[in-house]
Amino acid sequence: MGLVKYILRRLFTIFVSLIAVIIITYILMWIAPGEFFNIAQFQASAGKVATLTPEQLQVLIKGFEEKYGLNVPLWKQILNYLKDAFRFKFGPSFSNPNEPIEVQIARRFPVTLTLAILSMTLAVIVGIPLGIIAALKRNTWIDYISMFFSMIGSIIPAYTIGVIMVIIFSVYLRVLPTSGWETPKQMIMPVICVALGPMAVIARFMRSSLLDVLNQDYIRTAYSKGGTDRAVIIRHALRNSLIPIVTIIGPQLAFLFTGTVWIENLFRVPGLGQLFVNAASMRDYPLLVTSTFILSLSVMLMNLLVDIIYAFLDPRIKYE
Amino acid sequence: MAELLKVNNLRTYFYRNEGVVKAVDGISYKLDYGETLGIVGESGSGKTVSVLSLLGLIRRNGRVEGGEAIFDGKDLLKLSKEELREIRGKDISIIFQDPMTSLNPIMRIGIQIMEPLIWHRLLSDKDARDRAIELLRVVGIPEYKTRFLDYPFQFSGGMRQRVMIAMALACNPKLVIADEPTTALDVTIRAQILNLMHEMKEKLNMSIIFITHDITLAMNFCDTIIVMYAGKIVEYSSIEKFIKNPLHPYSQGLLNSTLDIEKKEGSLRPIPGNPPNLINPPEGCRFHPRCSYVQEICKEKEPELREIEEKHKVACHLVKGGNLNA
Repeated sequence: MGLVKYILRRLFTIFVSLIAVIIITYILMWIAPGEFFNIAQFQASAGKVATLTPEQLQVLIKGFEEKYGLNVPLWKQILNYLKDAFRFKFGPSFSNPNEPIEVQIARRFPVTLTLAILSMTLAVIVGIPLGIIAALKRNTWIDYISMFFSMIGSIIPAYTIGVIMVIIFSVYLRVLPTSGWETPKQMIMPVICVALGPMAVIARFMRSSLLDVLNQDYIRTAYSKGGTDRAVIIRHALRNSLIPIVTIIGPQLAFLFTGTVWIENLFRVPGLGQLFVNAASMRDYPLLVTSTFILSLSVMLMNLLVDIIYAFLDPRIKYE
Repeated sequence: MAELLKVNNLRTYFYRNEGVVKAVDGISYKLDYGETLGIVGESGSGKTVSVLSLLGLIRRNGRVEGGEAIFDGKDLLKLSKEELREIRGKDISIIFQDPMTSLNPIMRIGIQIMEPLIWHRLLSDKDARDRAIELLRVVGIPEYKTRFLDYPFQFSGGMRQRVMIAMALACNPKLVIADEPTTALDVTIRAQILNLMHEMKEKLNMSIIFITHDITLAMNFCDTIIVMYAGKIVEYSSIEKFIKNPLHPYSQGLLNSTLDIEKKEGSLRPIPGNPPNLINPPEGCRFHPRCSYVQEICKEKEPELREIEEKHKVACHLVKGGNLNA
């Protein structure tokens, strides 16, 4: 009973927060220099827009503003956007007037979702055991090596590792294709690249969390009762040390949902990242606002999910 | 009475960046079946380490450097890890100081009480469950049948310490080590827990090592008392002799540091200074920088623990003929 009530209250908070996020985004876009039309004009300067007379251009812009509802005050624009956004109707984007944004997103989202889930699964499967081993063998070469690799994973940007991987596996060894997203073989490199960052973070978190738990009094109590290393670590240490790990996996996953721009670009993965980055560089405001909307929504929903899982893991936490 | 535990010349050192901390530096004592031994001293005097060393429960940077600890015919310090594990929780169990942190916060207390029984393969799961419920009743948890499924956070401090006691008693140990079991509790609860421990001791005829910094508590609760200072035993006595005639200046200092409403105002005389750094302990008697009776010999020669009378040993140069001659 408490759970349903709790979720409803949290959803209401999310609703209010989203409105705030959208208002701030609109204001920021309004402040930011540059407009879609100037940029489009610049990019198409060799094309037909540049050959129009100023009067013709004015007519064109006026028609454009009417189509996208830009001829009303900012607050009204925000209101119009919000009215439809919560029904997941975002209208057309500037750069692709013939297709509503929700359709564009729906086409690309499954790709990003697959990439995110595969990568996060890999990051968890490798990161957690890596952290556990490092903690249990602390200050030995096993610890140093696993932490060295996790350090590398968090320092070197994914796209750099991506390029190195392409050179090794596609150019020299010729075992993996350089790009695409149709066959499992094409997915290997993007998934590994996206996974490395979260994997490194998870491994380091897991290590410090487990070390922290191993120093707790109740671990000594468990040993004093005659527990073997195995029993004490599995029954008492691991479950306690996994609780904080859930908090970092949630938000990480949310960010992966909105696309992993560089990797998608590098491996030509047709996901959300590319769509949203183009939106920013093109000042494609409807698309830009929508990407913020989607990112905020998924971060907040993930946090809610994390909090719910938390309460299942830790009996001390109650939904208030 | 037959001897249960005999510790000889135990030394435990901790290796820190600043140097070697000689936390326990050559202590010897023995414990009979059914005896309650109190170990008293300030924080850092080595009282807890001297006992946890026996069970291999000291922190990673600590090492038992030497000595022997014969428990039930076996030298605990020479046992393999697995042999020692078989003794922990079954023959020797521990009640820790802080019941708030010594129980696993996310495991039902009933399960935590069942664990030693199952780990030592004494009972089946079902019998262990019955035994755990019975133990909760014995240590005085109300509604013990339902509280079996509760988590530690649902208990008060005193109730948690009762759970710790139930856990320690689960396998009917021969020896229970109580490491400041009442320090973290309210005064009223403290008396309840002491009563419970006393009752259990009478009922189950086990030996207890009672570690405390409260000398009057030890005098009330124990048969024998050891006063430790800076990793060494300074006085070791039966409780009757100690009450009549506490000899070491440090023991007297501890007694003078406690409030006694029957004494007049100004009788509270704390020991000046702080316990010494155990990386470079003072030469001679380790207590000499704080001792009001200090003489030349105390700064040069380390006093040995000498028997002054039967069941009464003191490590002080100035004790002669059963008196402190200062």
